[in-house]
Amino acid sequence: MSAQTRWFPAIPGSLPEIRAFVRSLAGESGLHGDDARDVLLAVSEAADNAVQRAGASIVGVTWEPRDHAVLLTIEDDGVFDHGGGTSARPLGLRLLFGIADEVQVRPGKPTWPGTVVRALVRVWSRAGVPDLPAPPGRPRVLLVDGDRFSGQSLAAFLQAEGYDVTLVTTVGAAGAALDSPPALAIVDLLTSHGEGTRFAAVARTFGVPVVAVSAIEPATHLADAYLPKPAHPLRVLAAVRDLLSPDP
Amino acid sequence: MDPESGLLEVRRRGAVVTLTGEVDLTTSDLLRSELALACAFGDAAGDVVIDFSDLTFIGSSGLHVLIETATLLGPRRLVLLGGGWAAYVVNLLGLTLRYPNIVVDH
Repeated sequence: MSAQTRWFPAIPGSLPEIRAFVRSLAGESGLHGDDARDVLLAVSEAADNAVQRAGASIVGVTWEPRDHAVLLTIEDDGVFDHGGGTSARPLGLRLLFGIADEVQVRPGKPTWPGTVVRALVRVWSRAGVPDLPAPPGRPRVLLVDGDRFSGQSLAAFLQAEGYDVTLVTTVGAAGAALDSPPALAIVDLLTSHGEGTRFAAVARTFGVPVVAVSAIEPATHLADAYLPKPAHPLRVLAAVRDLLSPDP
Repeated sequence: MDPESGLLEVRRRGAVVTLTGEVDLTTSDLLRSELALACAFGDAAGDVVIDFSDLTFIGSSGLHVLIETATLLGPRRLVLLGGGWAAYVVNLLGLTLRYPNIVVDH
């Protein structure tokens, strides 16, 4: 879905219509309960302020899908009121900051009206990811993670996505698995007291592409892809697909 | 007594208020007036209870009413039933820390 914008009169009576607009977009985008709620709250808080803003006659709401996020723009032709007016504003902004990953405000001035609020809200529902067909022939993926529980859940997810996953929890076992090299390795660099870093280098000498996952170590130079931990399974999947897809 | 604004229906039995629908700028005054009645009910002692089970939206304008009510109640408790939206936004803002007489009951 591409960006969608709709304009509403800047009156409190528009708020239910604005919510209906956002709900229908959330539905079309396949956002689930918590994601739909967050997006709706973020737009509503910004729109609350817009319809009460001095000089505002119209409010625009724009929805733009992003990678695992929605970028929401709420704009009006009014003048931003710093701290004045009702005490509702700080609470609404706090809610907005609580929900959105990033918030950007262009305050309308008396000499140059027009207030724009942009909020990036992260969403975890599947809809943002195009459903690619499962890879042919179930490529073998070696997953090296000292944390057995997070490893098991990621392994189960990747299995369901069509990969043949071998999970090992030590670098020793990972080294043994290189006897028949997998198509790709996902390595938590802190496995076996940081030995994962060494293993990543070894795996690459075997021609095995490596997705490095780490909580503390920026590892862009050690691997073919790097994800900070905790990494959302969809991000890991995206990196795996990216590295295993044939070059165009 | 069942006041309605189209978007929000408020049913009150004594000090228990049940909400159906959405609380926003256009309906928060209705919530405010019903909660004032709930606070004053009987001998004006004991908990005031709001059931949010059938609420589909509440934002900062509604939260302001909850804060005003909790402040008005002083040592009495404002008990929020039904979780969902209300529990989420109350927890997001940490209102129960700042207003210890607001209690979220699941």
